[in-house]
Amino acid sequence: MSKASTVLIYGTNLSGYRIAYALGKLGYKTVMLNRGAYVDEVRNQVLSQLPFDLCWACAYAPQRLFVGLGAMQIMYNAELLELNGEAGNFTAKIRKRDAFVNNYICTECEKCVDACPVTVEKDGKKQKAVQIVPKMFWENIYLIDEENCTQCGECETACPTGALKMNPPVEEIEIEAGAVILAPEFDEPGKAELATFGWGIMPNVVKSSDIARASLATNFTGDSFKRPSDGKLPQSIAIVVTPHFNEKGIEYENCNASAQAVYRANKIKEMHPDIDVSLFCRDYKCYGKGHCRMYERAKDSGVRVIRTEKLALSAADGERNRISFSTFSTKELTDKKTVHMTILITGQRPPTTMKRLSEICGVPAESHGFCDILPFTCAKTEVNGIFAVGEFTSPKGNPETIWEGYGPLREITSRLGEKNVEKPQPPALRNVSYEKTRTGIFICSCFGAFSDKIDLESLVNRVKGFSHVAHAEIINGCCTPFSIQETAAKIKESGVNRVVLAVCTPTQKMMKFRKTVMMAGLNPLLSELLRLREDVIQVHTDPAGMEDKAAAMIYAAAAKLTTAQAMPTLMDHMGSTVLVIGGGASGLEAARYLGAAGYNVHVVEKTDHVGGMADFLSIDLEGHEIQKYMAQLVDDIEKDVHITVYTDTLVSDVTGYAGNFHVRLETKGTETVAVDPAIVILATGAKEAKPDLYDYGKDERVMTQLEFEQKLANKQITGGHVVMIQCVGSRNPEKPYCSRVCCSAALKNALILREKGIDVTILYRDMNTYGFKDDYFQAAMKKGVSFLRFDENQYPKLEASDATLKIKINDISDGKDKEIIADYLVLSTGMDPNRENNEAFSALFDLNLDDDGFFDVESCACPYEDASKRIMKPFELSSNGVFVVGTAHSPRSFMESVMMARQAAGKAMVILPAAKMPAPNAMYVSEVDESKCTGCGLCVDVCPYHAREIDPIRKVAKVRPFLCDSCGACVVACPSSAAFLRDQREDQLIRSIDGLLAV
Amino acid sequence: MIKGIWVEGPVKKGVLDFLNGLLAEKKIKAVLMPAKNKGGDSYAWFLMGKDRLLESADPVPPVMTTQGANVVSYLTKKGPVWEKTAVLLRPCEYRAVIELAKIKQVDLTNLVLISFDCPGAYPLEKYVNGDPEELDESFEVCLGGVVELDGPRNVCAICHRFTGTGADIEIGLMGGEGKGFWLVPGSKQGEELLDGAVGSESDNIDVREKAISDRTIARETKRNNTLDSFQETVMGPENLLNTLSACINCHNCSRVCPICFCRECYFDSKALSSEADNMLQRAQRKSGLRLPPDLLLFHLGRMSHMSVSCVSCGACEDACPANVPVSMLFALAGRNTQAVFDYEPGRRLDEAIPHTVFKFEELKDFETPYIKEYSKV
Amino acid sequence: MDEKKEFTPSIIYGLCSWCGTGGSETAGAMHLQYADNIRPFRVPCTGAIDPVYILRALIEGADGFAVSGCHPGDCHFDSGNYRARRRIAVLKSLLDTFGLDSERVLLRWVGHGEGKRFADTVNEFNDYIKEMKKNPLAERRDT
Repeated sequence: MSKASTVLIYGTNLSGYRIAYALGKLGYKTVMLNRGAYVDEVRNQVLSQLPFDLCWACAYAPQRLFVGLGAMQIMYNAELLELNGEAGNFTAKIRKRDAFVNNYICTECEKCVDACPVTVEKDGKKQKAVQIVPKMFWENIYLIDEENCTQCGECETACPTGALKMNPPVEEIEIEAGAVILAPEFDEPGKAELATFGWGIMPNVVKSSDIARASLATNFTGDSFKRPSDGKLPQSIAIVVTPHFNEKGIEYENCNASAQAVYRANKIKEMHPDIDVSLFCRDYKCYGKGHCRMYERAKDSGVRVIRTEKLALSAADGERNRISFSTFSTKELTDKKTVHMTILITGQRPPTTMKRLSEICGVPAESHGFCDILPFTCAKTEVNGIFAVGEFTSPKGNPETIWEGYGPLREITSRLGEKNVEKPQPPALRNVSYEKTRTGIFICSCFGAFSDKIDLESLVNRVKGFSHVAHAEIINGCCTPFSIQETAAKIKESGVNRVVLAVCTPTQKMMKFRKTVMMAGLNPLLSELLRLREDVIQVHTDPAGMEDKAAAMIYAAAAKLTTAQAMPTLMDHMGSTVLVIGGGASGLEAARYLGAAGYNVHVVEKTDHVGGMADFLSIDLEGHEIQKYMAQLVDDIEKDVHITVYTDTLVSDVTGYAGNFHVRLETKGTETVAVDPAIVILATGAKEAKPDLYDYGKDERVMTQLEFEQKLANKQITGGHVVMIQCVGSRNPEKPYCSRVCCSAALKNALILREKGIDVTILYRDMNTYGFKDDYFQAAMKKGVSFLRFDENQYPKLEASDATLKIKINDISDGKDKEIIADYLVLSTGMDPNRENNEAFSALFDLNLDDDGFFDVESCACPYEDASKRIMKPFELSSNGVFVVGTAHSPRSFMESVMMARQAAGKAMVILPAAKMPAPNAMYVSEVDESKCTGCGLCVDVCPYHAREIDPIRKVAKVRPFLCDSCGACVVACPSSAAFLRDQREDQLIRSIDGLLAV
Repeated sequence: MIKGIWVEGPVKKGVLDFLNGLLAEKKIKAVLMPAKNKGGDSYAWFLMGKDRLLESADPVPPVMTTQGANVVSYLTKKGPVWEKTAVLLRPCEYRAVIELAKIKQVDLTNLVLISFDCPGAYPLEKYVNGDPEELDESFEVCLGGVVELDGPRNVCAICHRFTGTGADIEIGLMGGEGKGFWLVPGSKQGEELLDGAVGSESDNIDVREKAISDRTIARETKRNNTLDSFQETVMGPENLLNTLSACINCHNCSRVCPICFCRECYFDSKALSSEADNMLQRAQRKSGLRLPPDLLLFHLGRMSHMSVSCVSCGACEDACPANVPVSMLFALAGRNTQAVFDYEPGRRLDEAIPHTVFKFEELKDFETPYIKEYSKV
Repeated sequence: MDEKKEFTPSIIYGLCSWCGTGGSETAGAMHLQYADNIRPFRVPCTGAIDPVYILRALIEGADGFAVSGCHPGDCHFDSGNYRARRRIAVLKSLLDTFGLDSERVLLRWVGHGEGKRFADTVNEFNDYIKEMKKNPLAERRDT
C-alpha cells in the first residue's frame, strides 16, 4: 500500500505553522485544522508570550503563501473526530465549517458592510452585523456576528465576487494523511482562578493577553496603556507574576512569566519613564539569552522589583487597586501599595483539548497534563507517525516554539509517500527590449466599489493624455483567480510593454499583481503597483483632489517606467555539503541528522576525539542516560558513509558565502583539505567557568559542579555534608547572564546524594528551574535537601581551616545570620563562552558575538534584543548560511543542545535540496554598473547582508544576489550611480519625483 | 620616538638633500613630488627615482596645480607601489589622501607620506599669469611662519589645519624663521627613515609648537568669522542663486576635487538627463528653466554627497573658469555638516566616514517628535 | 483676502516599503482622512533615500518633503533607518547653512500599525507648510 503524502496539522500554534511552511518548501501538502473562525483568533495569546511586542505577522505570513500555491489548506471551525490507521496511512475524520468569507476571493471592498442593515453597539463603538476584525492590518477578516445577524441576505447579494456565504454548511470529511502533527495553542488560567487576583471584578486589573495587541512595539503612540475604567494613562502600574502566587502551586507555569513581566516593565518605562512601575514576583527565572540584562535594565530604569512570597489584591477605591504583600521574612501581608492599574502576567496551562486528543489519537499526557514526548526525540509521541509540537508539550516562549517546527522534519518526511506539491512553472515572458516604450495604465474598480467614490472614467481620460501613456482602461480587479486571468488578458490584448496597476495594498497582494503581469507575458520589472485604495479612495473625499492625486501617482509611475528594463531572476549554484564545526553532542547530532537525510557532512573537531563536554556528564536532571546516548550517537556517526570526521583539525581559511563556502581544514601532521560546504553549522560549545572565589583551586574540598559530578560518578563521595552555592561569579555586572544549567545540575547531584543518605544544603539566589524542572525542586525539598536563600548583595562567605569549611550566610527567610559546616563546597559557576574560539570564528565567518561573548544571532543589534528577525532566523547568524547551535549560541542543557542541533539541521534540510537558489527577491536585486564603479567599497561597508564585495583584481563591486535583500543602502552609499536597484534605476527615481510634481 | 631633527640652512635645499640622501641610501626607491616646469611658470607632479631628484623639484611649491591626492590615487588605485615611495604633500593634500585611503582610492602600502607646515598657496591663475620670480620670492619669505602669505587663495587665508599632523614625516617650518627646519617623525616608519638623517636632535622644537598653536588659534577665529560673514552673503535662495549664477555647468570643480573620486559624477549621469518633455513640464511649472539645468541641484547635491569629507583644499575654485567662490561654499558647508558628526576629514585613518557608520542613539534633533495634540506654528 | 487658505502646498512623502507604507495602509484600512495634496514616493527603505531626491523635489517645486520609515531598531533591513537619519541630518544642516528652510524636510518614524500617526503626520506637516507659505525655490527659474 502506498503511503499518503499529506500531513495533517491539528491546531495553529507557531510551531505548526512553521512545519507547514517547511513541508511546503520540501514539496508536501499540509492540511491545517483551525478550531477558530479566523486566522487571528489566538494571536493575542501568543502575543502575550516571549518575545512579546512583535505583531508576529512575520511568523504567520510566509506560510500563507503556500495556501495560494495549493500546498497548504486551512480549515476553519474544524475539529478532529476520528483518527484511524497508522504512520504513512492515517485516515482522519474531520468536521469543519468554512469561514463566512473566502479570503482568497474577497477583495475587501466592504460592500457587505455597507449593505448590512443591522447596527449594533459594542464596547462603545457602532458596528454592523458583518464586521471586519481589524486586529491586524495585513489581511482583514470579515466575520458575521451570528448573534445579531438577521439573515436578511443583503451582504451575500452585495458581494461582487461571491466570497461571502452567509450560511456555510457544517461538513464532515475524511482526509488521508501520512503523518499527524498536534499543534494546539496553550490555555490561559480560567476566569475563576484569575478572579482571585481581581480580574473580571476590579475594572483596572488586566491580564497580559488583554493588552498584548495594544502595546505592540509598532503601536507605541503614547496611549497604549489606557486604563480600562476611564481610558486615561495610569500613573502607577503594578505587574504581578501570577504563577508565583498561585494557590494551586502550579510551578511549571513560571516558565517565562517573570521574564515576560520584566520585559513588559521595560517597555512601559521606555515609553513612559514617568509611570511608577512595580513588579511583584518571587523568583526571576531568566534562562533566555539576554534575560538577565533585561532585569538589570529594568532596575536601572526605575522599575521597583518587589520579591515576595505572598500577595493579595483588593480595590482601593472605585478605580485603584491595592496590593498587600509580605517580604521574605515577614510572611504576613504587612506592606501595601496602591496603583492605578494592575497587569497580571499569566502562565501557560495544558490545552483542554489534550484529553480529547488522547482519546482520539492514543497519545498519552504527561503528569502535568501536556502531551508526552519520548525522551531525546523531536516531538515524537508514543504513537508512530503522530508528532506534538509547541506549547502543546510544555510551556515555552515563542522563539522555542518556532524553532521546534524544524526539529521533526526528517522524521515526518520519512513517513510520507512521494512529494505531492509541484512548484508552478512561471509563464514565458516576452522580450520587449527592442520595442518602443508603450505604457498601459490599468485602473482597478474593485468590482465597482471604487467607482462609487471616484470618477474612474474621467481619470482614465485624463491619464490617456499623459505623454508616457499609450493605453488606459478600467479593470475589475486582479486579486481573485478570475480577475487575475481577465486582467492579464486585457494587458496582453492592449499590446503594451509597460504596466501601471493602480490597485490596492501591494504589500499584501504583491505576489498576485506580479503574477498578473507575468501572465500577460511581461517581466514584473516593467510594472509599477499603486495603492489606489489605501492612498486615495479610503483616505480622501474631495473628488477633484482625489483625481489629482491619483493622476499624479499614475504620471510618476508611468514616467518611472519609461526607462525600466526587464531582467531575469538571478540564480546561483548551491552546494549540498555541510560542514559541522565542533565534535560535541550538538555538532554530532546535527551531522547524524543530515547524514541520515543523505547529505555529505564534514565534522571538524579541534581535539583528538569527539564528545566535547558530554564526556563529563552522566545523567541529566530528568534521569536520561547521557553516556548511553552518546555511545549510540558516536556509533551512528561512524557507520554513516556520508559523514567524515576530522579530529585534531582546525579551520584555517574561509571564503565564499551561503551555498558556496570554501573552507580549508588543517589536520595535524597531514595536508590541508579543502571542502565546499553549502551550509556551516557552528557547534563550538562553551566551557565551565573556573572562578577565583571561595578558595577554588587552593582547597581540594572546593570544586565546581562538574568536577563534583565526576567525583560522584566515580563513587568518591561517600558521606559528609555537601554545601552548594549557586550563581557563583555570575549574574553580576561582570557576567550578567544566567547559565541556565547550574540549578538543574545542583538539584540532580543533590538528589543523588540524598539517595545515598548524604546531607546536602543548597544556597541560592533564585532557583532557575524553569518549566517541569521545578518538579525536581519540589522533590528535593521533600527528600530533605535544605535550601537557604541569600540576597544578591550578600553572598555567603567561606572561612576555611584544615579541619572544617565554615560557610556564613544571611538567610533571607528570617533575616538571620547562620553558619554551616561543610565537608565539600560545590560551586555552581555556570558557563563561560569559548571566547578565543568564538572570536576566531567570528573573524573567519564575519559574524558578531553578543555582549556576553556567545555568538549573536543577528547582526541587527537593535535596542529590542528580541527583534523579530532574530526569532525568524533563530540559528542563522549575521552572515547567511551559518547556523549556530548548542552552547556556542547560549548556555543550555545537554538535551536542549541536541534538540537545537536537530532543529538547525531540519532548517538546513529545507534549504539544501535546491541545486540552484534564486535571489530571495527574484529579479529585484541590486546591481553594479562596472563602467562607473571605482571599487571604493562604500556599498560593501553599508550592506547589512554581506551581499557585496570588491573584486580584488578588477577593483569593482560585485553583488552576491542570493544574499541581497534589495534594501537600497548601496544605492545611496554610492555617490555615483554605479550601484543601483533593478527596479529603481537612478534615472527612474528622478523621473518619478518630477512626475509627482507634474500634476 | 624622537621629537625631531633640526636641519640648519635653506629650507627647500635642505629638504631635497634629505630626500636625495634617502634615495642614495636606498631607504626609499622613489619620490613623488611637484617640480617646476621648464617655462618656470607652473608646476607638475613627477615620480622620480633613479639616483636623484629633478633639479627643479620643489617640496613647498607656491601653488597647487593638480591636487596631490589625485596624483597619489592615480598611482596606487589599481594596487600598491611595490617599493618604498615618498610623497610630498600639502597638509590638505595629505588629508585628502587619508580620506581616499578610507575608500580604497589610495593604497598606502609602501608609501611614505611627508607633509609640511603650509604657508598657503597662490591662486593658480594669479601665479600662471603673474611674475613667478617675484611671487616665488615673496612666498619664500613666508616659509618660516612669521610672515603671512600675501594674497593667498581664499581657503588658504582661513586654513586652520596647516600642518601635516599624522604624516609619516612632518617638515616643521613654523618657528624656524627660515633659518632651517625640523624633521618630525609621525610614525614608526617615519622615525626609521629619520635615523641617520643629517642634522641635530632638537630640543627647541617647542618653538614650533608654540608658533603652530598661536597661528591655529588666530586662524580658527578668522575662519569662523570669515565663513560667518560669507554665509550672510549666500543665505536664502536669492543670495545663493546670485552667487552661483555665473556657473557655466562645466563641473570642473568636481573633476579636480580629490574627494569627488567617482568615475562618472552622478550629476553628469543619465540620472539627470531627461527628455525635452520633462524640461518643458518643469519650465511651465517654474515659468522658465535655466539651461543647461540643475545648477543648484548639482552644487547642493554634491555637497550632500561629499561635504563631510571636504578638506578645504581649494582646488575647485582654482579650476572654476567663472569665478564662483566654490571653495568658500564648500568650506562653509563642510564646516557645518562635519560638525554634525564631530568629524574631521583626514584626521585619522581609522575614523570612519560618517555615512558608513551610525549610532543607535544620536541625531534626535533631526527627527520630528510626534505629539498627538500638535500645536500649529 | 486670505492667502493662506488658497495655498495648497505640494508635498511629497517618502515612505519605506515596510513600516512607512504599512502606516499608510493602516490609515487606509481605518479610513482616516488626511490632506489629499500629499504624494507618496515609495522606496524600499528610508536608507534608500538619497538626499538628492529630496533636493530635486524642493528645487523643482515641492513645498515640503516628509520621510517616514520603521522606528529605530525595527528596520526591516537591519539599519537603513539609522543611515537615513544621518543622510537627512547632513541635508538639513546644508539647507540651514544656505537659508533654505530645513523645516521643509521632516523625518518621523511611523510603524506599520500606526495609521493614526501617519494621518496625523500628514496633516500636521501640511498645516506647517501652509504656514511657511510657498517654497521660494519653486518659483525660481534660475535654479
